[in-house]
Amino acid sequence: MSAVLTVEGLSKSFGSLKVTRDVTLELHTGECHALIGPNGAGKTTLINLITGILPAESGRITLNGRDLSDLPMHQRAAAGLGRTFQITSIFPDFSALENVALAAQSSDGGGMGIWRIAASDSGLNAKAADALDMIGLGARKDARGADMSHGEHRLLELAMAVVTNPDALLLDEPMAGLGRAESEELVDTLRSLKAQVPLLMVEHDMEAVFSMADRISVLESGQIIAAGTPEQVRSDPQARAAYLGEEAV
Amino acid sequence: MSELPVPDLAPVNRGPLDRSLMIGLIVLGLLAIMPLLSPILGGDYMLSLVIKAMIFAIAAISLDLVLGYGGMVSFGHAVFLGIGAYVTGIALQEGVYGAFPILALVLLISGAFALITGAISLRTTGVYFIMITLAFAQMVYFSLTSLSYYGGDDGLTLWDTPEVFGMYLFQTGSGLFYSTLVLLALIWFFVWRLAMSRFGRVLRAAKQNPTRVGSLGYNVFVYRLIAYVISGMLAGVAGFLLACQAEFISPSTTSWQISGHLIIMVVLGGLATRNGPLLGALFVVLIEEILSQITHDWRLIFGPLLVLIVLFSKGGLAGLLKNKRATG
Repeated sequence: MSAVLTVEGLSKSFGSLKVTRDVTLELHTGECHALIGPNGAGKTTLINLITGILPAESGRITLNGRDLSDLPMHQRAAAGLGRTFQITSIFPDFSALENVALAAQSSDGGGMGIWRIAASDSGLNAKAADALDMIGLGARKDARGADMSHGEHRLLELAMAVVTNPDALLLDEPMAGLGRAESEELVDTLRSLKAQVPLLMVEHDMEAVFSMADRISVLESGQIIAAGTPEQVRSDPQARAAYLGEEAV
Repeated sequence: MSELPVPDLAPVNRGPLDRSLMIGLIVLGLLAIMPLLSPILGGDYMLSLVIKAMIFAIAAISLDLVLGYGGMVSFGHAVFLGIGAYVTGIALQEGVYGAFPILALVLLISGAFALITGAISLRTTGVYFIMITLAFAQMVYFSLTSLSYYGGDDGLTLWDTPEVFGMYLFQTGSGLFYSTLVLLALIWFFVWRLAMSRFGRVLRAAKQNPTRVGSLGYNVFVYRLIAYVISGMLAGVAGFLLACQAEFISPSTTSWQISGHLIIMVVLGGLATRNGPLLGALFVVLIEEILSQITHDWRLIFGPLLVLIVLFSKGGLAGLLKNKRATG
């Protein structure tokens, strides 16, 4: 399997606090790579460093061999790095379809058209509707963002990320706040999604992580202390001490 | 900025917007027959008042692009009116009489000013953006008052108006009236198309959630800057017309009171709506005139009136019209 996304020696401090220490990891074609660790371990920081919201102090990030380390956030996204946010981050005044269409146009023609009415662009609308169907939100495409439930927002986020055909997709706690049934549905959706785009996922729901991740990296105090298949991580003493405790055995 | 009233933009190409198109066309149609009605309504005085209202409508529509659709509270937008007026006045003074070369200069200079000040101002947001746009406008205001060669504090009376192939289309009267109306109609239509385009969609999204727009691969700064430059250029055109109508240019055109006035027009009419700034500008200019004829202390009526409209109409005057039609 080839590495799509590689992170080498990534470091970051906030003042004297080292939040990311020399993190190295790879995301391969067709896999779901989960990033777990206790609260404050620096998981979201790591995602923010990779996507470029935060500047890294040292280290290298490459996507399909292209070095992204010096690019600003929007250029990394344009280069094929998709993400979803831990805190719901959608456009509340847009309909679900327009939320996704806005994402779609970023990789399909861009945003510089100034004359044609964007909402009547049938190509964009079809793409957006397909993405919503795939994620299971097809029936809600005309609902206003602000009127949708939390679970629907999580799905909408995912549709917005998927519609741009990213080369790698970073998911920051996709299950956060979802009910049990919703979580199970999302796990199924993600399982079929990873065949199209490799997923790097931060997630607290251990059941979901161990049922769908191909590989797991355990982060503690900004450092990867264990990595491997779910079985390897489950039996790793350091990982258990750091995070899994007794309950996950 | 985020607590400004937000219009319902969801079903973009269906019924409600066709209605807004109809309302806009009706308003423009009513304006078009004003010169015919003016003998009944008060003659040339009325006509010149309506021209003034239409010029402010152009400025308000251009402001709505950044304020309403873009969520950027520019508190110095009168500066572009002033630049448009001064470029026009100075060009006429220096012997350039062609309307097209003058308009080209107006677009160029107000666009360049917007590009430079926008590139600096747009590095800030919120209150800081308000203050920095105000500061730039004040800088221009004081520069103009010390521009003694072109009248300084007292302003400058213009003895000519721009010509188009030998015709004085911008001289007071029905020529200026219809020139202004045509420009107003074009700008009214253009800004709405722009706001509904792919470009406008990114701009409207950045008002709601700029970080997310960036993470989708758009450079928010560039989109906002382009909107700011277009807005400045269009307001410059309003300044050109203002100079033609008043046959006089003065630093007071760039004062912060005028900038505030423009914001009132946009908010009162309805932010980020197709007809809001048009209705707002016509309403404010006309109601001020009417009230000031009734009483010297007309502001005592005007102030509470503004408060009532903003309190009780969701989406300003445009929202009021929409609701009435929807329920009735």
